[in-house]
Parts: sequence; structure tokens; C-alpha cells
Amino acid sequence: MANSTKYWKGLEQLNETTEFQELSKNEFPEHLPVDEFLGDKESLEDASTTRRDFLKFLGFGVAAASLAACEAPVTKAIPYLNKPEEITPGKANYYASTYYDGHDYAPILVKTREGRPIHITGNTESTLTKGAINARINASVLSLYDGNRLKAPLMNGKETDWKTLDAAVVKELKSAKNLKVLSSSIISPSAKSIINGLITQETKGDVEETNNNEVLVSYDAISYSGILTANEESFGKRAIPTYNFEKAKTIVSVGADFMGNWLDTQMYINDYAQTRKPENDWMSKHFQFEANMSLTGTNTDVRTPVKPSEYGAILAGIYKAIGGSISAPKTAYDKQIAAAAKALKANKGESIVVCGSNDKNVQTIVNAINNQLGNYGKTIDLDRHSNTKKGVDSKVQELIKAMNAGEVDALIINGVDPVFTLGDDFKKALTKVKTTVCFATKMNDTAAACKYVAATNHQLESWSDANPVEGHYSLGQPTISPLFNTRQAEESLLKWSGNDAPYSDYIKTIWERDIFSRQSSSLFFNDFWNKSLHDGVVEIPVTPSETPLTFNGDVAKAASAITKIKGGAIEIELTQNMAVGAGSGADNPWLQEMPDPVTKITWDNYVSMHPADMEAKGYNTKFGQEEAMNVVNVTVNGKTVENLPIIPQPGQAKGTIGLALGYGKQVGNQKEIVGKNAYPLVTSTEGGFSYSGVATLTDVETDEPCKIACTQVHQTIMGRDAIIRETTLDIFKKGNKEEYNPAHTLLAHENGETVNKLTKEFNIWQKDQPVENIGHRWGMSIDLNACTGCSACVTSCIAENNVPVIGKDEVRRARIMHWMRIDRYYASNFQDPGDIAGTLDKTKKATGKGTTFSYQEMETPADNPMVVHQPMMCQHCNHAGCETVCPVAATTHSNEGLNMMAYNRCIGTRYCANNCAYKVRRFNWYNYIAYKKFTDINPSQDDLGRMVLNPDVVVRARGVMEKCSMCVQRIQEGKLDAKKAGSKVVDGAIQTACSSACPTNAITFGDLNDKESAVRAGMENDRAYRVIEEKGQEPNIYYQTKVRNLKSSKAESGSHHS
Amino acid sequence: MNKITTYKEKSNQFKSIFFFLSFLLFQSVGIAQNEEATVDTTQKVETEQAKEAETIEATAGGEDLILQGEKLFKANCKACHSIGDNKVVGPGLKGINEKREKEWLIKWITNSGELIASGDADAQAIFDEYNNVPMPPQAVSVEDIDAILAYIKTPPVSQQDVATPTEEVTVEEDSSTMLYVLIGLIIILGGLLFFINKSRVSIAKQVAAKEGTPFNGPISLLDALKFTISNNKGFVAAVVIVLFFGGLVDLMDGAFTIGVHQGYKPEQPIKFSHKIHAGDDKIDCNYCHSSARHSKTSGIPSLNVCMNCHKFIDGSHGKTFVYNGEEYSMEEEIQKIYKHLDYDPKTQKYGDNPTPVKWIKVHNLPDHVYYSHSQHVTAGKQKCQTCHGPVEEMDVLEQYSPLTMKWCIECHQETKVATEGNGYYEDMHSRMTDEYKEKVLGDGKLTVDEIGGWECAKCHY
Repeated sequence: MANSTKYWKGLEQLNETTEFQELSKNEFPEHLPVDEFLGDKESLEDASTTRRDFLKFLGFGVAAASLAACEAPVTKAIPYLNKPEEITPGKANYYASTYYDGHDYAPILVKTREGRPIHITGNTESTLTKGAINARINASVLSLYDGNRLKAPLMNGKETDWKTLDAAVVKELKSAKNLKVLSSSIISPSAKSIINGLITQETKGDVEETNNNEVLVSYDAISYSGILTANEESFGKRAIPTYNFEKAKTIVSVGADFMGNWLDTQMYINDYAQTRKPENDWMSKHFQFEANMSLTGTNTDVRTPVKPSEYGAILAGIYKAIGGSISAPKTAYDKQIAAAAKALKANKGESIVVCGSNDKNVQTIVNAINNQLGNYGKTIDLDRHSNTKKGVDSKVQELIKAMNAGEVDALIINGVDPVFTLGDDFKKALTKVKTTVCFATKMNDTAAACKYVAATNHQLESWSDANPVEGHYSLGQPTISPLFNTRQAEESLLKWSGNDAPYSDYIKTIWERDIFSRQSSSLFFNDFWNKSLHDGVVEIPVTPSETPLTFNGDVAKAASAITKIKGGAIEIELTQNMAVGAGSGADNPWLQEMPDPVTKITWDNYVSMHPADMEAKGYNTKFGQEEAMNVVNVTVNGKTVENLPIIPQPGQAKGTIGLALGYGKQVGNQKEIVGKNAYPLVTSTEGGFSYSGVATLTDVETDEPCKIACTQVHQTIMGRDAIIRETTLDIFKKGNKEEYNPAHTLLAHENGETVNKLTKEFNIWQKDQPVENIGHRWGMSIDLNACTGCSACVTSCIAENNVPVIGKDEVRRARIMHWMRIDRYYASNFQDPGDIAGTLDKTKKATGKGTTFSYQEMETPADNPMVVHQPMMCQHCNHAGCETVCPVAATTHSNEGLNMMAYNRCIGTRYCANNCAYKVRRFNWYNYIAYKKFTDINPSQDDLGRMVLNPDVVVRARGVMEKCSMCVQRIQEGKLDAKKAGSKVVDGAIQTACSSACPTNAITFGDLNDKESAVRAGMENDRAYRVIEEKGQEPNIYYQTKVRNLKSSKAESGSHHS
Repeated sequence: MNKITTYKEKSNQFKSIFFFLSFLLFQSVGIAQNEEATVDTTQKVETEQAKEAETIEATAGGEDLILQGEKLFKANCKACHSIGDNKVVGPGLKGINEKREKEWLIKWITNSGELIASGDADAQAIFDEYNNVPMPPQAVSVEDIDAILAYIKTPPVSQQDVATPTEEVTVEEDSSTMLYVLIGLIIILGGLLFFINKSRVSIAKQVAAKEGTPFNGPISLLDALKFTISNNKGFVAAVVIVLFFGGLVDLMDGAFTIGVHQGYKPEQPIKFSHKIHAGDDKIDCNYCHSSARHSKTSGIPSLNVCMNCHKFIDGSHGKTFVYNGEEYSMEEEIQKIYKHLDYDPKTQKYGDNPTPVKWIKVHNLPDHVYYSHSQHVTAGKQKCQTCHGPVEEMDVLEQYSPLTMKWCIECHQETKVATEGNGYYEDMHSRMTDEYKEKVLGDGKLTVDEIGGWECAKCHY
């Protein structure tokens, strides 16, 4: 009502399907699953238990229960024999460490309790990532306690001991004539040094320097070889540059999901968010051209859906438009290209152009554009280059060739699963290698095909160091002793090269030699080491190279190569999503259950397609609990992936499909494989690996209906549209709050006249909760401009609050237990997006109560909707609807503004959830920690998985309600710390799980009664509003109106919707 | 204090018996309350001080040198040496006068390093035996050494006393005796009733015979009872109603005691007496339970804390102590610590096979309660005894408080918040408007419930 923009959660709402309307009427879409408790009906009827028997059992049961209750349970308590000095039982310890799995890099902070790591957040000391992490890094703590981990080294598939394995491996390696090491990009200076030492006997050279007969072959599952090669040809430096998004006023991304999974996302995301604050002098303008609806695409200002085959042509067009000499092929996007080029030209040296293609020709044009704009040395830095991606596709292809030719007789594989990612080609070649050694934490396809499997530690059990970017170093320390008989890869390599020193000592030696000597802050190495280990990160100044970069790329050649890229009727673009990434999250139940930020689908990968395309093909475009999706086989370049569900994705470029990589692995003890492995569709061409191509779809008839567990229509907020507030930059800059964030008013009769009165003047409550002028008032301020939807907060909340995993089947039934979710709204502009107040008046006058528009008025909004991500958790209303309806007062309000939930008091009437306007209450339908249905899926059901539970938060039983507590355990701890120190609670000292995990600081938590606090500033900000405020529930969570860098005139928004 | 506890227990036992019966009434089996025999132990131990005074009296007979030596020994040597033959840090000194030359001893005591360096074989042997830990040079004169050696040679007799404390253990009648008495009484009363009835019948018969009318009153006891009941229906109904509702009330009352383990007093695997440590030795609670100040848990001390003292106090003096009414040897219990740590007091080395001590948890709060010790001890400035009772008087630790929510919130209602000099509360109070200040602080007493101590999420999350 407050907004002319129509928001819809999914196509169901847009099309107002009957299922959606049903759902929106029922908080709980299903009835109590009694049948499942009592078994099937027939056997129940056949049962011979008579009424008398039943009463006898009942009597006995009651008696036995009461007797049992009287017996004092003997609980044993076992203290430490020799308590480590730094551990106080009941208090958490934090250790700085480093996460790097070949795909994601971040300096992290690990929270441990009594020696168990239980939570991971980013290390804010790092100037590189500024504390940013993603959901995968956050959830990696769970994989430490994965019962399916390798528990001992394997030799020929059988468990063995390290002595035997070492002897056998050393013997074989010594006799090897041609040893190769295939590894994910190594950013550890120490590991690199070990591999150097391991092979110098044979090659006499540095692993990376020797070009002929290289021993170390770097291989990234998701290759960035195109950028590496293009940079080598353009600037003579085979490296990935660092991008300073902080300085970029114009950002053009062509198919690069740099806020999700492209290169070093953790290094960009916080910087990008800094440029999106409309209160600043300038706000960056972001153009996105892409095929799939990526996370970056959902956050952009101007998004243009294009086919992957057109990326090159679009970039050529941009190059031409900014003054480059190139023959650009004609595209259908001249208007958008011109707009992007205009903005780029206006911000020379303050812009960034990136592209997600792995084609070196396309990347050469990107380099040419950035060079023409003078971005090198300003927003793009090749001196301080990134080391996280080093894999060059041609080297990998050469290795496979050499293996097939029988030239390689020993191969060590580290950090990658090439049989999974490269498929049968690699598997076949592997059989030709005599000695195969694989480092693996879990049994994977490659480990199964190797002779020796050196079971490695989890990262949290290992020492590590990293040099992700020139001049930036970080250290990783173990936070728990190895749980199984495993050894970290580096230590194994060290042993095999004849050095028995522990790896930690080795790192120390390398640091003393190479890094200590380059810094000047510490005088003694021990001080330097201790400080580095404590802080986790070290920064060493880099002297920029004296010779300025000169661009030598052959643009003409690249341009002609681009014209040869063939399009097709259906083009596929293979992506990674936030949960699984390149595959690292595939076996993690927390991540599988985390709804995808865009599709909101859990526990699956799927083919995404434009709804109109789907309708044309006659596919089902509706989601629903019992809705079966169509199933297709996808064939690219002769390789087929079978039985993929196909789902509608608004904003997907027409004629394209998307599919996420990394799936197809077993999760927990489930026999079922989750999703399908899409890596076979990556085509290996002369130019490297290609993640897009022409696809053909074949329909599959299935007997088993393919159902999707999608949360997007769950807990729908019923027909209330004052949820999202959004405006454009020019309106915001005018500074009239009433224009973009008007206060809510209600009609009232006064002295016979109808007047508009502010909502807050209406109050049906006799007595207000005294939260304003007494003590604390905890609250949050959530900036919709900063929230990217990445979902790191979701997994962080799961880890902190012991939220159970319930599996695909239950998620499908809308019983997901997540305390916090990120609502994704598609927005269709059918009127001027800027003129909110005007429309509000108009609609009010027209209808008297609200808008009555027809969805058909919108010009096919699903073509290219704008997207808003809104983190949603308990709003801790001061006039809460849930509190008043609870018959047993299990949920009450605290004087500190918290909506409290006493589980032990709850009797499970679910009135509260029905009465919650925000649909944030979750009901425990089952005893998830014991019921057999969840044994294979809920990690908390085995002793190992239980170790990740937060001991400060209770594990809820069946039949009770639960919801966000605003991390009351952290609030209590923070207050206690302040009381003990005898000082006020310092603003920022208490962080909720979500706010601590947010990479862009979109969520600010604090005390609203503290006049100096950041959250108070957020609340008093002109952009601040509360969701469905007109209902007068007085939530303590404030949201900041989203501001897009658009003009309110129809011209630009029109182009947006072409 | 004992009286109160005993009374409470008694009433609990009574209630539970009554509850048991009432439960039976409702076709079920009642509960058996924790009916452990309560042992009230009163000890009359002679105080150490008194004994010591006696000792000094006895040995004061002219042996100034020995007394002087004792003083010096205690001041300079006792931390590392005993006068027996057990090792502490250094060797036991029993018989040192016979073993070594006095000259050698003087050299060793004043500068052992020099003696070792001079190549003395004996000195080197000791140095080796004690893991190359040198004895630090002592600033004592030759006369002092004489005194010390004299003391070691003939220590005052009472020093090695093996006096067992005289104890008077009185065991109160336990509840089972009470039960027997009760049963006996019932039998006697029943018998009495039987005989009274018999004599009543015979008298009535005789009266009837005299009057010539046949006797047709009730003959057996049962008939008599039936007769009485049928003639007093209103009274019987009243009794039944009173009994029924009384039983119901008691059933409710009893149900509230389910899961309350006040007085739970398990014997521990190591017979650790809080009475000796916290009472007699006056060791501060926080010395062993150090995390109580910092953490939610008070922490069962790890054995390395025990070893801070028990490395030296090995119980070899042979004293005994009382635990749960029985007498135990101190040495045996201290040896258990060594055994768990795989520690050899002779070589003073720790082995590779330590085993954990499985203490029995006395205070078991349900999982859905979050209780923080540091909140109460550090922020709230509460004494441990407020909840744990007179621990310094308990040899076996018992659950003193009921640990029910009622008990928690009642205390929260009465207890004043320790706001004095705490900047946190100053900041909080500065935010209040006058209205709230008057409301909350008006009575000059800020209790815990007034700052939210009754709110659910203070303890349940």
C-alpha cells in the first residue's frame, strides 16, 4: 500500500495460484502427522489391545514414570586431570585462524568451548576481507564432526597405519621417474616450500618457475584460467589482480557473480557494500549483464538478461562505446551498453569492469576496457595480485595427456577431487599411473580410485599459513586435536621428503626466513610470531613495480575470436550457488538445508529456466508441497546429465538455462545422493574449460513425482505489502523523508471529520511495556541496501542456536526450523518506482483502503524483476501478537524489549504462530534429535555431530514452539561481562550470531536506549521503517529503506525492463 | 541449622509416606522418596592449637637448641624437606646426621652448586637423582645448621603424634526404627481393639442372658464396625470427604517434590571432606572452585589443583578423618589422587596412564535452566553458602537448597542488587526517567526481580 512497486515472493503469488492462496490462509499447511506416529491404519485396526489392557498399561506407565522421577539420577562429572591454563570451563575461547579450501579464502575467528570448535566468524583484523565470510566457511565447523570422515589412512582400499603407508609411499616415490603433484591452488608459502623440497631432487627448480616439465600442476575446480592467460598476454603477468570495489563508482559485470562465487568474493563484498550507502557523497552504480539470476544480479541497479554467448559481443560493444578501436558485433542491447559505457566514461579510473567468462579472448577485451578507462593501478591492482587461483587449463589438459601416454608414474593429488570434477577422462588416465597418492578428509571419487589415501585433518585440526594476496599473510592454527588417526597433508609431504619436524615448526622456520625479515614492527621473531598467531593476519608493505603496466593484448584477434562463439536456441550456464560452491558444501547438512538466496530451494540442484520458456514447452511452473516438477536430461557437447528437475526462474535470460555445479554427493548417512553432478557438462576445449555452451533438453517420464523443497512460499506474509520500502537515489537525495519513507497513518473520525492520524497515536494497549526509559532495549537495524542475501547469517544462526536439520521431505512440508530466513522479493515496477507518496495518496483515494490493481497490468514482470533481500527473524514486538494469545504465558515480554520464549512452559497450541504477523515462529513437529526419520540427516543424532552444539542454548524437544531469541545467551553474557567489569555495556561488544556473520555489516545489533549506539543511529535514520508498522505491533527491528542508484524517471526503469 | 534440616526432612518423609498412600488410593503405585538414613554427626575434635600448646609445654625443658632448630626448619627447610624419610621436593632428612659428615652438610647447605662443581661424588649423585634440580644456597649460619640438625636428630615427641581425634558419633534414630515403632503400635492397638470387642460382646451377652433377651448385636469386630458405620452415616461421609480431599491436596503437594533432591548426599569416589578443607583449614571456596568467579559453572577442581597442596601433604602422618559417619585414612584417600594422576610420590614423576575421576554430581539443574555462578558470585556478590549452605560443616557434600524455581524467584524477590560502585548500574539508572526511578528505586531497595530477575529469558534459553 505504501509502495507502487508490487512485490511477490514467487510466481505462485504473482499468478495467485490456488495453492498459494490456500497456503496464505494457513500458517501450518499440514495437519498433525498422527498417522506417522501410530503406523498405518490397517495394522492399527488389527491390533488386539483391548481397552482394559490399555488402561493397565497406562496405569503401569504412570506409576513407572513417577517412580523413575523420584529416583535421584546419578550424574557423573569428570573434570580435567590437569586443566589447561587458558581454559575456564563454561567460557568460550577464541582463536584466530585461516580458512582456505582452494575455493574460498578468509581469515577466521574460531569459537571453542572446552576445546571444541563450535562457531566460525570472520576475523575483522584483516584489511583484506574486513571480517567477511560466507555460509560455507561458517558451516565448515560442522564438517569437522562428520562421522563419514576418513578415520585412518588407506592402502589399496584397506585401512592401514601411517608407518606402513609412509614406508610404501616413500619407496614408490623414490623410484618414480616422473612425479607430478596435482593440487588446488596453493597459497601457503610453507606448503609450496615443502613441495619444492620434495621434488628438487628431480627437477632442480622452483615448482612454479620451471615451465618445462612442471611438477606442480595447479587445478581449480572452477577455473579462472581465462583471466590468468589474458593477463599474461596483455601485461606479461600470469596473475589474478585484486579489485578495489571500495573505489569503484561504476561497476559493470558481465556474467561475473562477484558477490557470490566469483574469485575472491570475501575480499570484495564488504568494499562493495561501503559504496552502496546512499548517505555517502557518492553511491556506486552497478550494471549487470548475465544469463542466470545470480546473487550479484539480484543486487544490481540495472540488470540485463543476456545469453552467455553474447558476453564477448557486449564487452566489445562497451569497449567501442568508451572509445576503443574494435569491430563490435551488433547486439540487441545497444541501449543498455550505451548506458553502461556512459557511466564508465564518466568515472575513468574509478570504475571496474569484470566478466565471468573463462575465455581468454573475452577477458582480453575486459583488460582492454579497464586499461582504456585507466583503472589499473587505481581500482585494479596487478602488483598486489591474488594468489588464490592459479590453475591453468592447458597444463591440466597436458597432464591428462601425459598420464594417458604413460609418462607419469607417480601422482600426488591434494585438495581437489578430479575424478568428480573432470570425470571419466581423468579416471581413465589415472589407471595408467603406477603410484597414485590422494590426500582426502572424506572418501571421494578420486580417493576411491587411488592406491594410497593419506587421510588428512580437517582445517580446524591443522596448521596452515597463507599468502592470498601479495603483502598479506595469515596463519591458521588447530583448535582441536585430530579426532581420528589422520595427518595433515603438509605433514605427510614433509615426512615423505625426509623431514620429521612437525609442520608447525616448519611454518615457523619459513616465516622466520621469508616473512619476518620483510617486516619492521617486531624486533624479535618470537614476538612477531606470537603477535601474528594471535592476530591471525600480517600485512607487509609491497613496493609497487616501477615500470607502469603496458597493455599488449591483441584486441583485434580477440574480437575476431569472439565472433566465432556460437550461440544456440538453449544455452546453458553452469553456476555455483552459495550453499555448495564448487562442491565443498555438498556434504554439509546445514548448507544443504540453507535455502538458495535466489530460488529458495533446498536439498537439490535443478535446471532453472525462464517461466515463459517453460510455459512454451508445457512444463509445470508452479511450486508446491505436492507439486511435481518436470524432469529433463541435459546434454552439452555429447555429455548428458540425467533426471534434473526444471524450475521457473524469473529474470533468467530467455533461451538460457542455469544449473549449479558441485552437487551429486552423499550427505550424512543418507543413502540418497543429493542433486546431480553437473561437472560432466563442463566442456574441455582448446581454450580451456568452458562453463557455458549450447544445451539440448530431453523430457523424461518418471513414475516417481519429482518434488522440490522450496521455502519461498512458506510462511507467506499475507497480502500485506508494507514490508519492503524502496526508492531511487535522486528522490533520496532530495531529502524529503515523506516522499520515500512516509510515516504510517490511519483514517480516524474526529469531530465528525475524517482525518489521517499517525499509526502510533492508536494504541489498544492499556499499559505499554516499559522499554523506552528503563534499562536496555535490544534491537536491530537492518540495512536493505547492504544486505546481499548471501545467507551467511542463516548458517551462523543455525550454529549458534542449535537449530535442527530436518531434511528435504520436511522442508517441503513447510516445517523448516530456521530462526532467521532471508525473504527474497521479486519486484515489478508497473508504475514510477520513485513516486511512492504520490501513488499512496492516489490509491488511498481510489479505494479508501488499499490498492486494487490487477497483476495483469504488469508487463510480463517475470522477465526481469528487481530483487530485494530482506532478513527476517522475530521482530521482538513491544505489542506482540504472539504474547497475548499464549494460554500458558510461555512467551512473554522482557523489560529489555525481548520477546521471550520459555520452551519448558510451552504446550504447543501454536496460537502464537498463527497470530504472528511476521511468520517467524517455528514448531517442533518431531523430536528431531531422536526420531528415526532424522537419524541419517540430523547431525545432532550422533555423539560426534553433537559436539558442535552450543552448550549455552537448550536443544528443544518435540511439541514446543521456538523462534529467534535475539541471541539472548550472548546478551546475557555481554551484560554479565559489563557488570563484572563495572562499566556500561560498550556498543558493539554484544553481537548476535547473524550480525557477527554478516560480511557487509547489514545487520547492526545493539541497545536502542543507548543514545550513542550505532543501532540507535540506524533507528533514527531517515530511511528507517518497521515492517507492517501500521499494525501497531511496535517491533524492535528496524529496516533501512532500500535505495537503488536509479533515476525516478521512466526512461531508465523502462530500459531496465526491456 | 541441623534442627531445621531434620524437621524439613521429617516433614518430607511424612509427606512422602502420605503421598505414597494417597497415590495407591488412585490405583497406582506411589513414590518412594529418597529415604536415606540421615546421619547426624557431631564431632568433638580437640583443636590443633590446644595440642600444639601442650607440645611446646612438654618439650620446653631446657632443649632450646632443638626449639631453635624447629623454628629454623619450619622457616627455611620445610617447603622442600620432611624430617621423615619421604621425599617432598628434596629428600626426607631422617637420619641425615648419621648419613653425612657435618662439614659436608654445611658445604651443601650453603652452596650445593659449588660442592657439585668441585666433583664431589655424593653431591653429584644427589643432583642426578633429583633431575638436575639444584638445592638453592641457604642463608644460614653454622650455628643455625647445628640447631636444625639437632632438631632433625631428636624432634619433639609429640611432633610425630598419631593421635586420632576423639570423636563422639551419635546416630539419631532413623526413620526405619520409627516405622517399626509405628507398626508395633498399630499391632498393639489392633490387639487392644480386639480384646475390648471380645469383652464388650461377652459383657453384652451376659447382660442379655441376665435380662433373658437373646443377644443379637454385632459379634465380630467387623460386624461391630459395620454397625457403627450404619448408625453414623453422616460422620463417615464427612470423614471420607476430608480424607479424599486431604489426600488430593497431599497428592498435589507430593507431586511438587518430584525431582527435588534436597538433601541428596552421595558418597564420592574420593572421600573428599569439605569440612576439613573449607572448615578446618579455612581454604577459600574460590581457591579450588576458581571458575565460579568467571564462568557459569563453579567447576569441579581438576586434580592439578589438589596437587598444589597434596604434593606436600601426603597424609603420611597417618591421621584419619570422618566421612559419612565412618572413619577413613587420610593417606589412603590422598593416594587415590596420586593413582588417578599416575603420580609416583617417591620419584615425583607423572606416568603416562592417568585416569579420570568420576565424581558424582550433587547439584543437578535441568538442562532448560541456565544458571551462571559468576552472575551470582562476582556480579551479585553472593556468598557460596547462600545457596550451598554450611559447606564448611559438611564432610559429605549435600544439596542444601531445593533448587526449585520457587526457591529461585523467592530469593530474587528478596535479594538486593549489588549496585554499589558498579558503573554498569550507574549507567542504567542514569537512563531512567524520574517516574521509573520513583517506581523502582523509591523504596530505597532495588531487588533482583525489579531489574528483570523474574523474566523467563534470564534463565531459560
